[in-house]
Amino acid sequence: MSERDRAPRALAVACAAGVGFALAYALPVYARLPSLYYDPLARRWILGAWPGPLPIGWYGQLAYGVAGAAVASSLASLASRLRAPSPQVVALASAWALTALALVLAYFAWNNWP
Amino acid sequence: MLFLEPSARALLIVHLIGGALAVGATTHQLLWCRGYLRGDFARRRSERRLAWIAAIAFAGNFAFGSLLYPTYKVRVRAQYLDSPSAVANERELRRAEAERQNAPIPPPALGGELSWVGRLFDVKEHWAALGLVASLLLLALSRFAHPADHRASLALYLGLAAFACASAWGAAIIGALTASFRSTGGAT
Repeated sequence: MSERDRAPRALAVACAAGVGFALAYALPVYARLPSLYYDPLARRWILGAWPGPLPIGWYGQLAYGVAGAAVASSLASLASRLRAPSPQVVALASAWALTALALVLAYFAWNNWP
Repeated sequence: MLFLEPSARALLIVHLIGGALAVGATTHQLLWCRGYLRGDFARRRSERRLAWIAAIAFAGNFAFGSLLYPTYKVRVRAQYLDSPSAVANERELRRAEAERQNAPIPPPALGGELSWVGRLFDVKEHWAALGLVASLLLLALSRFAHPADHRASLALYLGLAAFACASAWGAAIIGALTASFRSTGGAT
């Protein structure tokens, strides 16, 4: 694959990773999904529903985000192998990547703002 | 004992240094991108190096913060910021000590309800996570789709650089504000 062909594909994969991470990171909080928690007092990991205020759910959110980024970037990689992304697709994906990051940032700021 | 609690102060100092490095690297990288809007890519080589440094600083500092988090969550968040009785007791101790020393009484604004500090810290942890992703995506783009070679990536590149920089600054300021109330623990 030439450098010229590789760049749009890399862009599409990067955008998909950004969107996938952002949405999957917010998903367990927004949809109240079971997640991974670390109980710092008992020093153990808990998988399931929200166990209360002390166990830390942030690590589970990160795991959701990484999984979302992996799935989305794999799908984008596969799709861009089948058909090279057009400039319009690349521009739209770029806009969505920045929007998703900003939206999720705003969502958590809004929810937690003092 | 909590996970890594005996090392919490050392970790906090490393976290502070890493935070300064992340703020410096992301800010420099953003500033060095400013010519790209005019099509000037003369600083491309140095800017790409800064993308590496920023991503490593962000990721490393994120890891140190994650290791510190259990200590913060129990000793700072649960046992102080979210505990009105702990805050009231400390306020009373400070007040009594000030009276004993004939010193001015600490202003009440420093000893009121502090759960807002914990909620602000929650904002910081999410900003840092999203900022880290922006920094890693920026690193990937700098290697495989730099705007100097592929102009279509310019808007995303500059947007991610601004996002990573703003996240680093936001996280650093909120972290310093939280530590001004309580960092890893009290006298113990």
